[in-house]
Amino acid sequence: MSSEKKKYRFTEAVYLIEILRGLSVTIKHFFIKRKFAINYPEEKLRITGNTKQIIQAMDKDAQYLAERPEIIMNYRGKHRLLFDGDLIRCVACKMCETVCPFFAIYIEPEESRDPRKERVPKIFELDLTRCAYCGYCVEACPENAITMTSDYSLVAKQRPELVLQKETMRKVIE
Amino acid sequence: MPTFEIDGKKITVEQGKTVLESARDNGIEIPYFCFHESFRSGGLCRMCLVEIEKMPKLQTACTTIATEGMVVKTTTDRVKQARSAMLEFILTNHPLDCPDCDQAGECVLQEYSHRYGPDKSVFTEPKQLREHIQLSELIAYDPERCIMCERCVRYYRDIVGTEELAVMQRGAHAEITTFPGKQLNYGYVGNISDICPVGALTTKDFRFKERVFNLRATETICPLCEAGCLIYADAKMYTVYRIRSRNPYVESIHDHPSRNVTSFYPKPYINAISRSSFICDDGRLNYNKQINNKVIDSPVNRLESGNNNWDDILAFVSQRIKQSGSKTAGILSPFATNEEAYAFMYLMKHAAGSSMLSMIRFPEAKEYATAVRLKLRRGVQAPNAKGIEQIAKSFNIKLISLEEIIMAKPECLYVLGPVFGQMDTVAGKLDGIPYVAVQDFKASPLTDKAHVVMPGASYAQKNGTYTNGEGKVQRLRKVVKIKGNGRDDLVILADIIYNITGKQLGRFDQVLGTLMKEVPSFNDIDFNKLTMDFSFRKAAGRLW
Repeated sequence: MSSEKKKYRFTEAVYLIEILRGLSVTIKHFFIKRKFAINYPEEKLRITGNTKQIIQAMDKDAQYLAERPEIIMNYRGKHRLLFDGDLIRCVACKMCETVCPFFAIYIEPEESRDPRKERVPKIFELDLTRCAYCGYCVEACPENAITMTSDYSLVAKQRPELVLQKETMRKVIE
Repeated sequence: MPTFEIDGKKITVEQGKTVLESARDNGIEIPYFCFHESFRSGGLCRMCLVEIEKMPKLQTACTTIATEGMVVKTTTDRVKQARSAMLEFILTNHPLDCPDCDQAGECVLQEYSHRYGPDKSVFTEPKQLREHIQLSELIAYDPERCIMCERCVRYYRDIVGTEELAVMQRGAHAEITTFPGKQLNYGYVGNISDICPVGALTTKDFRFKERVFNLRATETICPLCEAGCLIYADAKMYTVYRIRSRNPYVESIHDHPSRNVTSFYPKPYINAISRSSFICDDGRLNYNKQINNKVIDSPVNRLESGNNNWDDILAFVSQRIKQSGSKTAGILSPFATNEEAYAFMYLMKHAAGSSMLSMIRFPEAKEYATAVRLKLRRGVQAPNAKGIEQIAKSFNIKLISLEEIIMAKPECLYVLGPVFGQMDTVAGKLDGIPYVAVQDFKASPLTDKAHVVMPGASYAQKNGTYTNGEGKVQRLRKVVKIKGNGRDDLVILADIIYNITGKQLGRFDQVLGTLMKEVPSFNDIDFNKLTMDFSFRKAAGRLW
C-alpha cells in the first residue's frame, strides 16, 4: 500500500468556498428568527394527547400551545397507575420494586376483597426524589398497570409531596 | 445390585430402587411433580414417563423398579412429546397468574413449562375460577392452582398417619379437602406448603409477604429443641421472612443435579429424633416472635449512669468479675452455642476462678396431643443441653441448680443467653445479689432488674454449633445482620476474657478448633464442613 497524497480540486484548495458553505447555516439562522427558549413557568411546553384537549377545553385562548415545541410522544414523566373502574390493575407482584435500580418503589400487598382479583397493593409508594425515570418499572409490569405520562412538572413545596401514593398516582393526567 | 442402561450410560444401583431415583442419583434428569422420597409413589402426575425397551407403552419412572438388563431412554421424541402433552393438560385449568402467585420463582411447574412445555395450547375453553379454601388457620388452599399430585394427601397418610386430607370430586372439579366441618390440626400442618410443587398451598404467615426470588436462603438448623431439624431461613435485608424444612434429599429444583449444585449432605441424613425431614409448626412460626420483633437496642448500665457505650460497659463488667473472683457465679442458657458455652466456662474457670455454674433447665417441651399418635415427634429438651454438659465435663465443672447458686450468695452473677421467660420467676430472688449482668437479646423481667444489660444476638444473627440430642454437632448459620447496637455473644465474652486475662479466643471457627482438641465428643467432627459458609440462591431479582 502506497500512501499517495490526495489531489484537491481548485475549489477545495482555496478553502474559502467551503468555509462560506459552512457559514451559510449560521447566516440563515441569523436572519430567520425562531424562538427556542421557553420562559418556564410562565410559558409551558406543548403537551400532547388528552392533556392538550383538556387544556383547550378549559382555556379557549390556549392557541399559544400550538406554537410551542412539542413534547415527544414517549417522554418519560410522572408515573400513573391504571384502574379498571374502581379496581386497581396492579396485583402487587413487586416486579417493578425488584427491577427498580434506585429502590424508589415500595409495595405492601394485601388480600383483595374483590372476587376478580386475588391480591392488590395495600401501599404503593413511588419516591420521585429517588426515581431517575428510566422506565424499567413500566417494562417489567406484567399487568400494564403502570405507565409514564408526559407530565414533566415536578415541583413541590415539600419533599413528602414527591412521594406518590396509590391514590395520587391515579390522578396523574396523561 | 441390578445393572441397567439409561440414556446409553450403564449404572449399578441398589436392589429395589426405582428408575427415577437411580437416574437422579446419577445426574440424569427426569422431571416429576408427585414423587417424594418420604412417601409411597403414586404415579399420579405422569410427568416422569420414560421409554423402556421391550415395553409397548411409556412407563412412569417413579413406580418402575430398576431391574437387570433394562434399557431406559429419557430423551426420545416419544418421551418429549408425552411430557409436553402432559404439561399442556395440567395447564388447562391452571391459571397463569404467576405475578399473583407466591410460588413464582421456585415453582416446579413454571420451571418445567420453560424446559419441556408446549408453546401453545389447543384448549380454547375459559379456565375455571375458584375461590381459595382455608384448610386450617395456617394453610390456605387454592383449588385452581392445584395439579393433583396428592403429595399433601400422601403426607397425611404416610408421615402423619391421620389421613385427614382427601381428594373429593372428579376430573376438573377435583379438589383437596378435609372432612366437612373439620380443619387440619396445628402441629405439623406447615409442611404441606413446603412439599407442594405449585402455589396451591400457602401458609398464612408468608402468604403475599415477599416474592421468593428476592429472598436469600441460608442453610441452618432449628434452635427450638434438641431435635435440631434442618431448616432454610429465607431473609431479605434484616428481616427473616420464613422458615422452611430442609430436605436432606435432593428436593427443590434449585438443587437439582441439572443445576450443578451439590447437596450439602452427600448422604441423606434423617434426624433420628424428629424421625423425618419435616419440621413442626412451632419451629416454622417462631421466627416472628424471636428475630423480627422488638429486641434490646443498646447496652444499659444501671449502676453508673452515663456510661452506656460498649467499651465502658465491657471494662466495667470485667473489673467486677475480677474483683469478685471465686464469688462469681454464672447462669447459662441451653440456647447458647457450644462456642459461647466454652467461652463462658473459660471465663468462669480461668478468668474468675469460680466453678459456680448453672444451666437453666427448661421444663420438658410438651409433646402435642396430636403428635403422640403421629409418627412425627419433637425433642423433649432444650437445644444445646447435651453439648453444654459435654463441655462442662471437660472443664471439670459440675452444673448446679439455680437455687444452690442463690443460696451461695455470690457477689457477682453473670447470666448468658436467651432466658425466654424461664428466669422471670427467679428474677425476684436475685435481690440480695449486689451485681447482676445479663446478656440477652429480648427484654424480660430479668433484664429490667439486672444492673448491666448487654444486648446479644438472636439465633439467626450469629454463627455457632449446636449438639443435638443424638450427639451430632450441627452448624447454626448467620442469616441476617444485627440491626441495632447489639453484638455477637461470643464477641462480648471474648472481649471480657481479653480484658481480664489477655487471652484472645478468636472467632467461632477458632473456638471450634479448640473444642475439637479439648472436648472428646468433638474430636470426630468434620471441621471444614461445619465452618464452610454455605448459602446459595442469592437474591436473583437484580438484573445486573
